[in-house]
Amino acid sequence: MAQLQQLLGGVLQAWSSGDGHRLSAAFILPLRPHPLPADVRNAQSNGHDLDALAAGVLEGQAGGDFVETVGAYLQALSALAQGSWERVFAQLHRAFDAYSKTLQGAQDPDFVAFLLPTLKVLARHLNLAATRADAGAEGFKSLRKAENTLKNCFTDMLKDRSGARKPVLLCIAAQLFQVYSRMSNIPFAKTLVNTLKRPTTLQGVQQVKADIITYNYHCGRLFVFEDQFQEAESYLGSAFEGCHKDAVGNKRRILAYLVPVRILLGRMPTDRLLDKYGLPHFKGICRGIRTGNLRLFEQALADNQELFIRQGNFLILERTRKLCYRTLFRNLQKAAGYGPENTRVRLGDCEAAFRWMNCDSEPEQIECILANLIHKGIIKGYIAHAQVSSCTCPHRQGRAVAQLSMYSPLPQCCLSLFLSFSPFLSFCPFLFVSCRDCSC
Amino acid sequence: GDDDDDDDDDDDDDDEPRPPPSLRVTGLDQAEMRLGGVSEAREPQRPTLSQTTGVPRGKVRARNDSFEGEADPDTAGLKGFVARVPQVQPQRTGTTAEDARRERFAKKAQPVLRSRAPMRAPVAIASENESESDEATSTGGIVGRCMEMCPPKEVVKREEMREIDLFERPYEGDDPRGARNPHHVEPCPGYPVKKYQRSAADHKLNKPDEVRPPHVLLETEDYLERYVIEQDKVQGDSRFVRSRGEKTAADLLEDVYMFYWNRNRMIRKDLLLQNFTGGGLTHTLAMTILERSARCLILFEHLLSGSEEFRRTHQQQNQKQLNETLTACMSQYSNARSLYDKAVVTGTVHHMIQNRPTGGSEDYWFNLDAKGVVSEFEPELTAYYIVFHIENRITVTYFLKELTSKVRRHVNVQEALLAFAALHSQDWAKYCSVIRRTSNIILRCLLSTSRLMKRVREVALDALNVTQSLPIAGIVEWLLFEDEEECVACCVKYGLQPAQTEAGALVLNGTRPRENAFTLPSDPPIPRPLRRFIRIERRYHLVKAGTHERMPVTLSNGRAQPDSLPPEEGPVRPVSASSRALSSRSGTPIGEFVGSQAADQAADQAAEQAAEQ
Repeated sequence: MAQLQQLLGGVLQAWSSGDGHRLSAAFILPLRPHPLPADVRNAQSNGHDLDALAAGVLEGQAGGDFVETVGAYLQALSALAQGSWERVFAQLHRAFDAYSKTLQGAQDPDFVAFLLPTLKVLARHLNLAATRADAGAEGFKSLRKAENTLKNCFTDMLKDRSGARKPVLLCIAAQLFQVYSRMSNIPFAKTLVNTLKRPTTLQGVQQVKADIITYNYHCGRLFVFEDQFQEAESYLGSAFEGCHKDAVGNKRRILAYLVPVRILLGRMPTDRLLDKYGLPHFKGICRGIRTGNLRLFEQALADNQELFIRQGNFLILERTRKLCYRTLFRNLQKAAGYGPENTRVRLGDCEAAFRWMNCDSEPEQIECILANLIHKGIIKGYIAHAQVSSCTCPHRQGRAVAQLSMYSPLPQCCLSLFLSFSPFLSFCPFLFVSCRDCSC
Repeated sequence: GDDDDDDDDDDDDDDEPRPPPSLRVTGLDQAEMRLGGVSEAREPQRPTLSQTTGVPRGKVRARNDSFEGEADPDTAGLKGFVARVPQVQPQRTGTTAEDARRERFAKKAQPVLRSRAPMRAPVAIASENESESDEATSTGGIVGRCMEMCPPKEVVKREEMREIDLFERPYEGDDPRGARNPHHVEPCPGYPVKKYQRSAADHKLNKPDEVRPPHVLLETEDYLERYVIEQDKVQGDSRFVRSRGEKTAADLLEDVYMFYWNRNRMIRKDLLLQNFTGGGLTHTLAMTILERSARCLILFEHLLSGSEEFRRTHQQQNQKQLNETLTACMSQYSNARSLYDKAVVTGTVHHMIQNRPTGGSEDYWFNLDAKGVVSEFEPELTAYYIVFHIENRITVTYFLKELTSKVRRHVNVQEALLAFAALHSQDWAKYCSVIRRTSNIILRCLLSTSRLMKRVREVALDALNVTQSLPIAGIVEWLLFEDEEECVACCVKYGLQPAQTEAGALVLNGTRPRENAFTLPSDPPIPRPLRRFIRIERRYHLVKAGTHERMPVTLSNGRAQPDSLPPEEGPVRPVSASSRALSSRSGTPIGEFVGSQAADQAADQAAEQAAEQ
């Protein structure tokens, strides 16, 4: 009972002190082993009614809704001691509902500001409990319920004309983002983003930095899925810069998306950055892209496939492959002696380069890659099947040449990296391989 | 003649009651059923055909002792007891034409009812039957007790309503083994199969006597795959003679499909009624049924996608059903996994496994323990799921996170991943090469569905526009067109005009200057199904792609079957070093896992070969 009494006393004190953060601290669910849940559980099994207990302590001090919140929270603690996340979720849901009512009834802006931190804590735990409750079960019963509640809460806060409740918007939005992403429904969050983007929504509202960062991170991920890399980069970038320097885990999470997006936009990460945050799995990819070493690139992708799939950035990394191709072609053009006078590259040479890199070297593969690169403006040039009529050779790749003129620069600033001559080319065997089977 | 509206099973999950967690499974030895009919299919006599069909045990069992029935002496002797199975006699009330018809139908039903003796004596069950059924209904769940492919009540009712399908009329030809047709397809014996029904206020479906338990459902699916899906190839079948005159082979195929589709849907509905779909129950046979259904639906979609009629009326429905089937299958897998994982966490897994009945509903415990997969075919079906949702990158991205590394490393899943990445990075050549190289023909069918091929070709033609004098013959090969005609028609639709060279070859001239701009037409051409790359022998490939049951290696006429089938590879093309390495990999049988080691070896081999050259 000691722990329980301490908790209730703390709540009472915090409630009368007017310190919102102190109050919110009382509602943090102890996830690590802690005597509190067991204590609450004992009290319940000894015949104490937890709701009545809460009412007894807070009677006369706080409104009925808040008393219900505390009662439900105690029930949740008891359920936690039993290890039943379904019941934890049900009770937290009740607590959240009751607390929302308390908040709705509040008029004084100072009182609203006092209540907000606890709402954030409850929202976070609601999300967490829903996730745990749905783990291993079919469908997303709890998550759907949590989504509904949080969405309603979001709308209520948005409608507030006084603006006193708006500081909580970003936090609720971030929680909703998480719920959606757990239900594999991230596009649903698009409406949130559109609402929050409107200049009037958050005008003049003081935000907590942590909320902004979390929100930006989720927003950036959403734009990654929508292929809007510029937008994604700006959101993720600001999240990364704003993130506290000691929150290495969070920084790594942001970098898992930020690095591939920046690579796609043409900014390679430095090795120092990757070392600092322990991201060695990007090293092979970056090195492969810098040097055009397709083999290294493929190897890095294949070795870390599981990790990338878990991080959810597998597909964007696959899409950075075209940059690797670009460097490879560029190096090929230099190494095989093509110059400003002689810009025609034989597709046979390209094929040899790919074969040397252990890659699919079917003629259409090469042509597909080149055509795509030219089509997207990554390389300038065209492909010509020049001597089709006069050639009797069955191997088409011998005949086709690609007229590759100047490489168009990548969108951003790292050109010097791409222009650097990579060391492996000095041993390049395909220097001497010209048109393989064909005399034309 | 089926209704195609969309408002189907969605509401069923809610109003169907949940059964008790443990399912009582009676009847056949399930391992035998699961591994299917090697021995059964080899049996020479007609009655064995019906071994794959049901036995009337549901209603009759309780009164079993008072019946004198006939039993197939062979089977009964084999199993070492004299079974008593009732012989259903049609009621003779008059001599009208209606009665004659009824009798004919009953006759047809008769071999089903009579031919296969139950393999376990039903007497023991009979005594406790009543109480158990009461219990089942009182707890609100149902356990199917209909031991036939079609409940006897429905047989009578459908006879009255004259709703008997062509495929449910008895075979009256003289050659039951079908030696006359070149495909060795046995003619359909024509047993009644439960027809698809909707639940309504006045038509409740959850009656235990009319719902088939999983092992009977599996028998039914097996029957459909064995005796129905290739019936359009049987020639001289008197049932179809008249219709053959008016109908083309394609029409007949559609008939076969409609029959299969309808009956298969009811099979899955029965699973749903017993809470195997969406109800949270896990059953190995339910997985098997869903796996097999998914394969058939994919195959039929491919076979029929050339038909305008199918595309207009049924394609969407088919895809919806396929989606439901695949989703149900995935949730069966994940349920099984979470059960197993929970047992691992609590440390009771060995205890659980020791107490499982072998060869039955809970085989997935053994599979997970021994092989790390829920079912032998889990990776294969996972690959189908990925490819089915390949365009929706968020769904796939989140789905992939859930995969275990064992499943992810499987060759089919890797192929699906390759195709997924290729599609979203506009690498059309790689996408087409996955179609060409995968040894799983059903994956090929799924990858080449018309909407995907359309998308790939659009991207490819747009990109290829940077190429000058590109021979049409090349494009035909690269983009898997059926012939030059289709390719040219497609190019013209997209605003690319092929030109003729001096030598007579058709070429595409690129956009320099931009006179041939690529444009998206309002009515894009619909790709033809890839017949050149995908040659299907339906039953054979259903079996080959994931061998639930082994098809008979030799047929009754002594000819080996697999050899007589066409090789399933595409046209022969010059193979480069790395693709040779890859193709040798893709030749590994399905079910074998390609680990990173094997991939390394293949890569090394390719590197060596390249170095030699």
